[in-house]
Amino acid sequence: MTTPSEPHPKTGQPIGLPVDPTPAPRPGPVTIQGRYGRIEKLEPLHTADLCAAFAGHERVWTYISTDGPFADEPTFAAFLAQRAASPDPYAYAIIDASGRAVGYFTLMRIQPAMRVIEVGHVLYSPALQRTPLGTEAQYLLARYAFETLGYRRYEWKCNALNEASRRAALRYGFVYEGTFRQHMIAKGRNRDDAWFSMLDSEWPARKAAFERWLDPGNFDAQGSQRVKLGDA
Amino acid sequence: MIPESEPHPSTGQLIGLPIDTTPAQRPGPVTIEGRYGRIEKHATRHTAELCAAFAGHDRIWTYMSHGPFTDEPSLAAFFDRRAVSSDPYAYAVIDASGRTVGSLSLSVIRPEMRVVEVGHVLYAPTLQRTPLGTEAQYLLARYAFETLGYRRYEWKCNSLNEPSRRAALRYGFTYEATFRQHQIIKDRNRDTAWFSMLASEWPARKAAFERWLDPGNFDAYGKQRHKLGDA
Repeated sequence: MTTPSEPHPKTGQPIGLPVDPTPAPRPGPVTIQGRYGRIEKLEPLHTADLCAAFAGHERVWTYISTDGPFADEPTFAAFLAQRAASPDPYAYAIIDASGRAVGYFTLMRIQPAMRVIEVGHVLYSPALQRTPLGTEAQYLLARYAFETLGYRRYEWKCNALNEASRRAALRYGFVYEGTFRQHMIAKGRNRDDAWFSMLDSEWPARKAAFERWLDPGNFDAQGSQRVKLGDA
Repeated sequence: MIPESEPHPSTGQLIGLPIDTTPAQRPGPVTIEGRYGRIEKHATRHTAELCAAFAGHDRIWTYMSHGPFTDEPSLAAFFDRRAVSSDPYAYAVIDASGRTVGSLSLSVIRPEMRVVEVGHVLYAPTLQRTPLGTEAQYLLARYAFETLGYRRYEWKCNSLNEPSRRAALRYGFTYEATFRQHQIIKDRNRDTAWFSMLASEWPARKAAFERWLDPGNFDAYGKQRHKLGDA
């Protein structure tokens, strides 16, 4: 992978190409409607739904570096209240067609001046996993980050041992960039981090792939996909 | 590259191995003596010599987020700020005659993760390609691993900065990734190349540094007999 460059006007050293340095806006309290549900700013009013959706599903927390699993509902509710109030990570609830909150995710490590942002703390309850809405939520948030906010790099990272997350990143169209060895100590254990990114220049093709996949015609009478995401 | 793992006790998912979670220490105002010079806490008293060593050398700033500076007062102000910063926490590089010829920093300091980066490496032309230039890296890495207890030591640079990439590999860092469109610096795109050295790798890197720095490795003209990293 070669970075496009030109010679420095005085020293001749190769330097990167000029880019618009206008900072990207920070994410805001938007509601974005999709076909299979919507995303909206996470609020305390989502707590009851999320407690119900996540109760007893300890696996969801294994690779989250700082949070969970939670011993009881009040602890989880307190955590969600904190999460809802945080400017970074900035959390969105994922609401299904029946109006139920079934997961949340966040925009985090928000670097407006660099126009770089990460989608992280992706918490999908079993009711959201492997559903069209699970994918649509990623599409809606990426579209918001690129088209509305103007970010030029959209990051995904995960514990290198988290196979499901790595597969999800590639399926959504992120490019694997490398693994940071011994990058963190999470819950008393070593964590290597796998890094992925999507660029603004790649978004139009990723967007088209999402939209083809999300089209109702892509699902048969049983709701099974006809063509996989990313397949032509 | 698959990290070592074991099954989660209740879910069975693969998780990393337990490690000592005692936070590493933050860097402090130490002086570390070497054979060809020393490193010591960067202070405002170094500013005048640094200005003399760096004045007129614009190339040094091309891949930095700062500089070049149009006049000596702004260059001096930059070094003064560096002297009082807690992160990056800077060390001056002092040659055998007592002259300040460079500065390098421990930065992005994460004691609880036991991760630290060596960055803001500013070597004046008089320090570049000298035994002291390499020794300063050795002394700082030894301090980070052996004294402070870090387990990951990072190097990153503009991916277009070939000398910095070569230096990282020569010092024994491992290339890990290039982040595309990672930053906007001086209104231009910057891709960032990432490198690391681990605590487990340090004993071998240390031995390689010490072999290279041995006076017997240099001929009568001061030319190296063996390259750093060669057996």
